[in-house]
Amino acid sequence: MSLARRNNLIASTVFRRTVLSGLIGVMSVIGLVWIGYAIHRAQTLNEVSESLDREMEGLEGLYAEQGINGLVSALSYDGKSTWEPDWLYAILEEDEFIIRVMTGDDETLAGFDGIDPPGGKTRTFIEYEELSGHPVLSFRLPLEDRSAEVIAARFIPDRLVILQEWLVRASWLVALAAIPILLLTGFLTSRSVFRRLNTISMSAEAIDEGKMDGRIPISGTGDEFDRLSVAVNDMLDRIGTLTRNLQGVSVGVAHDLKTPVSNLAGRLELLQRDAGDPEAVSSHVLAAQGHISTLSRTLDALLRLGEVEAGQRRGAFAEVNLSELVTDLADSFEPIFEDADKHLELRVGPGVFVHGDRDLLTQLISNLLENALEHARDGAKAWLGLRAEGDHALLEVGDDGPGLPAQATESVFERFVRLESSRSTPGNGLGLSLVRAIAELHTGQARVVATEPGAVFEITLPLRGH
Amino acid sequence: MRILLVEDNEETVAFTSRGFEEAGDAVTVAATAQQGLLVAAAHTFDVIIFDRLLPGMDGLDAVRILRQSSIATPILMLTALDGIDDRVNGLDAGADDYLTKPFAFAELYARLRALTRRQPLAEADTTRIVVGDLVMERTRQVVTRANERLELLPREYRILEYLMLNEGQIVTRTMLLDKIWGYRFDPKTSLVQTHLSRLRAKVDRPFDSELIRTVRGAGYVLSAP
Repeated sequence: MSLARRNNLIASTVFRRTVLSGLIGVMSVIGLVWIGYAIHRAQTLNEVSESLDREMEGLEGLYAEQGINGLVSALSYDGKSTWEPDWLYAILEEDEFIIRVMTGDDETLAGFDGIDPPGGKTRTFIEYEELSGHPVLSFRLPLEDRSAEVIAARFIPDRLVILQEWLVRASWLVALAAIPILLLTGFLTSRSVFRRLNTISMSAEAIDEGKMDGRIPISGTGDEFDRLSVAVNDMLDRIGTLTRNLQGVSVGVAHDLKTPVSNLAGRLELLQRDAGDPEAVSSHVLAAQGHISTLSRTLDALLRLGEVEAGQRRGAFAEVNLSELVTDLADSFEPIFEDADKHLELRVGPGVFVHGDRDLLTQLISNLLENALEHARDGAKAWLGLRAEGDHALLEVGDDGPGLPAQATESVFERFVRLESSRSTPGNGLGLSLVRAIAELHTGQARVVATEPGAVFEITLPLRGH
Repeated sequence: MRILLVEDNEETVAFTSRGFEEAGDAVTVAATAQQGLLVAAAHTFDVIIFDRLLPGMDGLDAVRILRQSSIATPILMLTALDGIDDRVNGLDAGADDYLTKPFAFAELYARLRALTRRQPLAEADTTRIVVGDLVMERTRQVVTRANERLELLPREYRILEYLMLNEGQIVTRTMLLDKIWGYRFDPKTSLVQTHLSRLRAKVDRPFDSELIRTVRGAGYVLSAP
């Protein structure tokens, strides 16, 4: 399939476009030349017809003064009023006009009777081709009393005739010569484009075959192919990162789901063994229920994360008083901190409003507080701050716990990343991923700054109306 | 209670209907949405449980049809989907409550009891709730036990109010998270346990008898001793 695609040049868009645009170019040149010729011809013919007009005026004047006889004698040549065809060229050497005077019955009174332009008896110019095949411009005019008609004709200049013939031949020649040249150009152009595209598609096929680290070579000219290649390479890098993340996530999901499942299996075994002891049965059942809720919580968090990342929730955004929400949540969490022998300090500025999803913002703040609760050492303090800064709200949750290594400030937001790497403490590695996903859904940002001691999570959310 | 259970998963049907029978409730089971609609139209029930994912028809549409045919029986929807939108859609369609799988039977039962309770009596008209020697004056927001005034924080007051309105019935942790905190998710921390233990320290500890009891693995019950 791909081979056929590569070799079929006629079907190639590049080939067809090159040939087509070349043809349009050649046609335009020929057309322009012909337009130039037409203008020149019109000017020349105009000059000829003006001279015919003047000649005719002279003949009319003669007729008015001397009548038909005067006209006939003026046109006489060598004593004869009607011209022999042999004389024609001799006459024309003296005078450029061919004249015929005739009666209404087409009887020649004087001049050359070989000229008989078609057409009515009006002032029309006719290109008349019967005089030795040489085109003439003729003028047929009835005299005042309609007893006779005068025809005057003049050759169209030779140079015009020759130029036109030459142009016809040149046009054909150019058109015929252009076709093979254009086909060749089209072939060469499309072949060079195909070569560039081919390197891209070969790289894509290599990746298709599983060589994920393959990249498209860059020619270095910075042309559109290079830009495309760079864009594709960047995309491949991003996909690579995502795939590695996904692999990490799969392992994480498997771990976080398998642990409660295996605990559950263990409890069921114990339940069977201790079936006779009601107290043991009830404690096993309780433990089993705990494992199920762990399992369920992980699944919920995963689903929620997927939902948030898909961005479906934006439609339901409304005005949220973040100051009130933060204060309320801090109130709820304070006793929990107290019971854990920790202290939660509140630094909330009033009247911070954002446009967002109340449920999700609640979850964002809760997850941060839970994270602080988990990481602040016993007797330590954590603090929760909120203030408006410029056009955004800055939410900070800090603790003076063990902090985190500088290189981990990004990875904490990845799914299932848990820095202690032991996964022994409760909780899944989804809480902070959800924090970041929710912040980003609100076109905000989530980052963490390592402090000495501890760490501060900084969430920025655009203020209402920004 | 007369319960209609519209659910196609046999395992779910088996474990819930056994629970209902043990509690002395009458359960009718329908395995498809069409069958469920027919049964619901022909008989009277106290509560209907509708699964969201049923063969042939979306449970949401079925609930909408029920509501359009002016059947006002309380409906609880069951679902394996746990998006907030799914929940909102369910309630918009006319369901009264929404429970995600997996769920504990105790949770389901507590919610059904809350749904079938006569709402006006409990919620609106009662300005004074009395359970044993515990008295709540709702207009003045004053709580006394054995004529001794209890100093409660606003949140503690709301928890106690909810427990007293559901006197004698299990209130689960999830119900409290939903009603008191407005949480649509399950926090890792022992939010409910911590607040309940603070409340009990004020309501029960200074007195001889215990009004609030923990039901292990299920929730809390407030009742006269």
